[in-house]
Amino acid sequence: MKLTTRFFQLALIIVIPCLLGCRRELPGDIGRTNTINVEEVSRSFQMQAGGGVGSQAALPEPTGFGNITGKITVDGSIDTSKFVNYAVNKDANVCSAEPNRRVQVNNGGLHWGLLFYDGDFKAGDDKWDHPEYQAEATAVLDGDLAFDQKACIFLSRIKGMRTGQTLKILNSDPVGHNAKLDGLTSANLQIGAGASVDYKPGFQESKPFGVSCSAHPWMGAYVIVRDNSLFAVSGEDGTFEIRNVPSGVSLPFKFWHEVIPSGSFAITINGEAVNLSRGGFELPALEPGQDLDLQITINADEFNNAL
Amino acid sequence: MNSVSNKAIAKMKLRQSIKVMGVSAWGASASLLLACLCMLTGCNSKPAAFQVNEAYIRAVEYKADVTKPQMRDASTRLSTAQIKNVSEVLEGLFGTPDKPNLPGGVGLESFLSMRKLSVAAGPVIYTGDDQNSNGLESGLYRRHCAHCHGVTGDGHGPTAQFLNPYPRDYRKGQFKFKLTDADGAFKKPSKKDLNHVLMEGIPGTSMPSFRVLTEPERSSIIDYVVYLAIRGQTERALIDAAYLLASDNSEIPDNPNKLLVRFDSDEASNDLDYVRELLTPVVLPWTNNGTGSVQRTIEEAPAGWNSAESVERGRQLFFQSKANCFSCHGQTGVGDGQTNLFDNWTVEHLGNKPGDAAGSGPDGEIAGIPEYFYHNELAQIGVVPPRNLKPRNLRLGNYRGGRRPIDIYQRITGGIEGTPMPGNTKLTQEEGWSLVAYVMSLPYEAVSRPKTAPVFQGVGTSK
Repeated sequence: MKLTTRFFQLALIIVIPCLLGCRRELPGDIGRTNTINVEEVSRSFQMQAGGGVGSQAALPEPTGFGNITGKITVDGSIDTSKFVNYAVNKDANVCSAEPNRRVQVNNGGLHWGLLFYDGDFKAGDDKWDHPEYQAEATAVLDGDLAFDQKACIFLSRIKGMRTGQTLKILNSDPVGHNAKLDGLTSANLQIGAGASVDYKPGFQESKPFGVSCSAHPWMGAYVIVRDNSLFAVSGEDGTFEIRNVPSGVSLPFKFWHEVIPSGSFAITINGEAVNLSRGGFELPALEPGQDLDLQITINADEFNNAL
Repeated sequence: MNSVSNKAIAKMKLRQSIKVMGVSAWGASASLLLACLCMLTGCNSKPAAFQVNEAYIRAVEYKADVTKPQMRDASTRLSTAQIKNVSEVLEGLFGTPDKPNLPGGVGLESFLSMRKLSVAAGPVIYTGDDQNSNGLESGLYRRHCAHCHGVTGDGHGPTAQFLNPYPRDYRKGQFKFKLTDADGAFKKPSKKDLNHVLMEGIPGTSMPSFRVLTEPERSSIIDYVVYLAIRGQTERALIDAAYLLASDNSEIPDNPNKLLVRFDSDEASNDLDYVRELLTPVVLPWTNNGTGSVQRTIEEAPAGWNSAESVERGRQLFFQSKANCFSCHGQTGVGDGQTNLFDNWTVEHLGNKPGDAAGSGPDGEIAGIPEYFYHNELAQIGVVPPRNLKPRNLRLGNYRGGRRPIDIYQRITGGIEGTPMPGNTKLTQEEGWSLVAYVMSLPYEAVSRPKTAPVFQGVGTSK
């Protein structure tokens, strides 16, 4: 009796470490996938083999166009003591070592806030894509619309453009820069002093991507590429304007700012509290010819906590 | 007599001590056998599986909420149900390491060969008697590549942590050395480019040449690597999409409406159409509507491209902002111009954003590298420590993309994807070749020559 007990004790002592030793939860070990679900995906795509584009759900027909204008206001003050100076380690005679002002608020208005339409869109369709914007679909963004850099700072913190457009990237510094664009169409372009290069994207992005300069790694900005013109970056005073927005259709929008990208927090739109879901919120459908005024207010704490 | 009695006493003592332990010899051997059996059979031998790109999930979450992980709200994280949902979609599209699959209707069937994938995938199985690779039925990738690049193609194979540079993680779909990049934008590598890397290896790294393989074998591995890259890119796109479906603070994270594909509901078909939309921008740059990426044609170097005058013109360009080489490669070309750079694969693991120079991000600073995100999140899931990327020392004469003049011309004009090395679209052809000439002359300048070691003269002979 005693012998058997001892034997089991010994066996247990050996077996348990064996079991524990071998069991190692690997990263991303999320258990077994559901075979039925896996097969459903596989079957769905096999059925499409050679059949071209899948059946797209019919989009509602817009009834006309409206305009959206408004202002993004920050409630409270931004803790500017959290700004960190640009870590300049070369070209000090050219490059500014001032604090990197990641949140810029002027008289309460938020500069460099991005709003973009995040729903289905038919580019080139007169009902969706206003003829005025169709004409700009392949434009070259030059002059005031170009993406410039001076004193080793990108002059636009966020730049919006359309899929078919060409972005001129300028270098207004007396030193060489390069623009490293990490989008779906990635590029890294050398730009001599005073020269310019072209960036042609080609694919729509669901969120802004980073632009940096490898020669001056403290430099950074963002670009977003959309297949429509329904986006706006707020100006110095926080105001924005999105013209020719299709009316009669639901308008899922996204708010984005580099410090709180795709954040989930409460904002107020025209006095009403709205919960952003990873930056997303829904606007009511517009009437044809309607001019919607949007007053968006964000609590300064949202920025301060993330700075 | 004395010795016999000693032996008897020893035997008795042994028996006594066994009795004291309470274990008979039979018991001991039985438990030993059991232990050995346990060790041999293994307790957790699952079939090979693709690993979830957890590092990317963490990076996405961290970008949206830079607070410490333990302070992070559950609503800002992807729930296990969401991650599992993404994995199910991914497995439905691309199968498993043992049984790869290609999603239909996106143009992949004509670009990648299922037959080649099945030879490269799976466990190493031989047909025929000879154990050489020609008899291989499946498992080419696991035999030749997986120990460094990992079964998932994540660059996380068992040997990865011992190598410098780390093996490539294919899942970003970015490759460095190719002749397809032109006009400033990076293109996907052509299969010819990948074959070139397999043939030549990458000098200065642990990537060897695979000339010993047959052409069909290399071709199978190439298709499989492209398959792993497309799969990895798709996974990233699905993670992004799942993350943007987000829950707001008021909702439970496991809400089925927050799943990318709502299986068992009327929405499943619409959701799968959405997945197809996500797949298109991933696949199209690879397939390029069936032709695949096309290598650019670089005209032959003009006569006298490496003349003394040309080298001098290259030297001047090296220091001008038009080419701006000195800015990173340094005044003397030893690669000391900008030493706090990182490649695309590492930047993601630092958790900093464009504009946060190393050490200036919200992470605080450890030895010049903002390692907070890495130490608190990535180290715990086994991601290798970040290393910075030093610009190449041009005086060593070791060029990773190849040492043919045309290789260096392409690096200068096309850039190196995933790294801080830009392409230069503004150089004339003549200027480009002058730079090649100058760069290739650097290892032979007097200043590059290593100092001669002092000759040991023997005891008593030195003065």
